Amino acid sequence: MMRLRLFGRCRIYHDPVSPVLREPAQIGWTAWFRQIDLVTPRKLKGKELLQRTRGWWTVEPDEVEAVVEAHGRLVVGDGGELMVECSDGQAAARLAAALSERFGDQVMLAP
Amino acid sequence: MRRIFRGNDIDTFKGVCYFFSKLMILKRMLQKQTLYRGGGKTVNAANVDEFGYDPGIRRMRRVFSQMEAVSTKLIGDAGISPFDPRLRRWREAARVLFERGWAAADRRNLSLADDEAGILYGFVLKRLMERDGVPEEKLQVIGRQDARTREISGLVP
Repeated sequence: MMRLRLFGRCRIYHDPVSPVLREPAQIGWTAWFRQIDLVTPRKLKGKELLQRTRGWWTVEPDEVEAVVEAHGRLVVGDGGELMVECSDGQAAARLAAALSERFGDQVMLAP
Repeated sequence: MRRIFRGNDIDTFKGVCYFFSKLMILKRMLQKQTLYRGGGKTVNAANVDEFGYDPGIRRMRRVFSQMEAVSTKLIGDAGISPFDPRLRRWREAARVLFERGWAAADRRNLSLADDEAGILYGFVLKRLMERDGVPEEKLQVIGRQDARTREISGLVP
């Protein structure tokens, strides 16, 4: 297995940027007839983190997801990084080529 | 024309002109909306650059672009795979050292041009790669070796 971070170009500065989940989302609840104090920390999944790039990257996350999922799996790394898990280096190279073909230099894989 | 537009006819003509002017404004608004929505699709901001008017942003884009070009060339020349795990460590360290070098340039009143920021980044990255055993002869940041280049390379912490 090989994990690489997924970068997209920033809409403002056009440099490669990638989202990082610094802390898990805190999910609380409200109810009609009672108060619920429970707050559950929830780590986002790879696809969910990718969706948070909307408006930050120059490309749409849905389109990126379609290309990535054909060659690998979106995951969140140990440090909260948005990563793609590929079976080996060749699969990673195929994904990099597919991303380049579809998005030019707007989306890239990097360690 | 006189016979056509007299009395109430002139008011009618004005009314028609007013109506068409509003219609044109509406058409322009719809065209703009269609452009931003990509003709019914979601926004592809690569085609809509709403920040490019700002000179400060344009300058930073040039700086980042130069930094990326220099680092891509260095890595390519050294024959290192773009998936080499060392790249992450080098990039993270290079960013910190580059910021220190940029601050040192400010202290010395050395105003770096956009491409010179890229050269400084290249020297920083080169030093980190050399430390990890990449042969120096493979790492050429810039062809020329003049006083200015030496001054920039002297900024590397």
